[in-house]
Amino acid sequence: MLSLLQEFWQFIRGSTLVVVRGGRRYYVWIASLLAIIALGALAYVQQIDHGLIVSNMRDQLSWGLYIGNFAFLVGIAAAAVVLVIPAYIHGWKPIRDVVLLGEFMAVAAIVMSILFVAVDLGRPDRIWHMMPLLGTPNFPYSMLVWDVLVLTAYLAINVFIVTYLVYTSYRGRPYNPALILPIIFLSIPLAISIHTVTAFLFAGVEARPFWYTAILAPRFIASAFVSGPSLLVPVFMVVRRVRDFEITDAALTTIGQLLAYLMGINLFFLGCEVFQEFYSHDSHAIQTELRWLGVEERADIAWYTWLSLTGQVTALLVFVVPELRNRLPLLATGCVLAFAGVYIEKGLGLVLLGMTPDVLGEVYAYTPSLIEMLVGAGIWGVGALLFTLMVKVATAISAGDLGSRSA
Amino acid sequence: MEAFFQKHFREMSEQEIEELTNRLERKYSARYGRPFQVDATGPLDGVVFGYGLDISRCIGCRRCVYACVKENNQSRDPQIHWIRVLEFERAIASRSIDVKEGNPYYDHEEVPAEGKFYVPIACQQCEDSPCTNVCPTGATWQEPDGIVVIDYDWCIGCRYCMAACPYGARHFNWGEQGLPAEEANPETHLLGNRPRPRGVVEKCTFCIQRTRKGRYPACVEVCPVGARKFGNLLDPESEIRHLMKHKRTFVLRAELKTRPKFFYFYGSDPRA
Repeated sequence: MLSLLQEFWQFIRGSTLVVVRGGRRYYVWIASLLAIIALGALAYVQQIDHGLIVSNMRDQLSWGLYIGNFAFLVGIAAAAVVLVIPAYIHGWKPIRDVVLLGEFMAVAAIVMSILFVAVDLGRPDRIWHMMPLLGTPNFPYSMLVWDVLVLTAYLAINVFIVTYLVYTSYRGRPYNPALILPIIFLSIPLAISIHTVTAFLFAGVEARPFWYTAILAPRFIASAFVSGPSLLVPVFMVVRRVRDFEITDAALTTIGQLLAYLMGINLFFLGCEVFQEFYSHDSHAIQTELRWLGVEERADIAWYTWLSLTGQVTALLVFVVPELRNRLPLLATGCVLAFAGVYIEKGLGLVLLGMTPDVLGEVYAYTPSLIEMLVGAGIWGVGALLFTLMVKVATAISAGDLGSRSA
Repeated sequence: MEAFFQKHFREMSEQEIEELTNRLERKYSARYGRPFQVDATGPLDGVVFGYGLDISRCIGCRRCVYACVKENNQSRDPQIHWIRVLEFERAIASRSIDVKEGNPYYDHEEVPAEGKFYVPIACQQCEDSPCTNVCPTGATWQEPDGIVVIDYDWCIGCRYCMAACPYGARHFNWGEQGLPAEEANPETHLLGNRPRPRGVVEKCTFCIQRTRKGRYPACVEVCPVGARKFGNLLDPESEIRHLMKHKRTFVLRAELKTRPKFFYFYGSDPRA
């Protein structure tokens, strides 16, 4: 037991040394991330000092950029299963080589989504009031309590999985399938559940017709399964260029192929939603108009909608046609378009359209304040930093620079 | 530190509540420079409060709005109004009252304006209240007398209740409450009109500080045309029950099945 702890301590020490050492490019990247995080932290201090009045949220639109990003990032976290299923259940070799990076992304994304909820609270000092044992969680009624529970479980499981996998490769041993595979399999339904519960958080609100629809959870899952892999493909291309880590072209184009199906399903669900909005034209009428045609106070929203749709349809074309997706620069472009399309739709549009007009019919023209944007950027910086550090350690091990034998 | 570890209101003993109200009284008295009373009177047995509003009488003068602000220590800057008066085109009355079509920002020399009618709206004290269901900490709940209250010291400010409320009745303290000392009302209730901390949600409590002591809400008292009625729904002889029987009665957004205890009247029912 003691020697095991000692060895783990060596691993932590070795990893720390790996992440503080690097080339010039690495230092510049880390320094820029730290600068963004510092700016975000400063902005958050302003928010703590003055209250959420420094945001542009108001009673008419009581959630904004923070909660939109939260919903989007829970999706990114859940999307790790798009790689986990082919890697561990079907044993697809190219995906299996990169699945660990997908799990890193999940860990970083959950941390970010929890941070986004935390910065949205009026009283972050009281966050313990909703924790089991410490506080009085309104379970099972409040979907927010469910969300906290499943997110915490998913974070814990993924932290365990990546730590175990990285540590076994550090020791140069194969992992023990009897130990880790059941946990990985458990992470699959949990991934679906985190995003489903997040969708239910909105879909249970009868007062907001834009959210109050059974298609919301399927839409959440479908768009998440597009945005997650779409983020990973360009990231993989960067990782294999800057680190000594093998990611085959086959891995990238296989993900591209998966994305063809996933984007297809995503756009199909969107179509179902749009049909009902336009054809029935009842309680959705105002949102529909706002979303697709624009109203006087918010003509810009329709522009964003069409931009998002154009991006996603173009991406679908790239993913579907083999001659296009097999050309890596094009594949990367398709991924960026898909990611941006979903971000506009879910990260920005979901909350905005759910709350505009408000329940009394008022159109409050919300755009995030500078402080909100800085705090948001800071949280994305935290995620990027976490991901970078994890990749640095894992790639150092696979390149043989770090390991219990080389130490 | 004491405030940080404070328990949920409903988990406090009588003695703990007493200690808390004493502490708050000292704090507010010092802050506002005159003796403050923070009362924690509980619900009365056999009482469920109900509110009635006769829209054929309301003239849209907004006296209720400002009486409420004064009575309930609402923030002057940033401005918070628990009551909003919606103005509708008369032509719409032939259809139904869709709260989305009302305009709270009307600004006329004189009211009522030609061709308009008015529907004041505040917390509807729903029996099936979406706001209390979604609250992650149980910081807002319905009392036995039907009033939906908020423990301002337990609310974490997530604003989920505001997303869930179909009536726009809940308001958030985005900044520090702007309450000039000379305008503060020192007669307060712990779950009602006492000064609110920053970052928590607040709303109408049927003037819990008054009504639990047998008085009318401030808005009822101030209404110059007698459009506002208030009473005990469990008492068949009460004015509110009489009106519900003899007037045409409806609730807002009935399709959501929130079962408001805030009833709107128009005209008399000739059959009753």
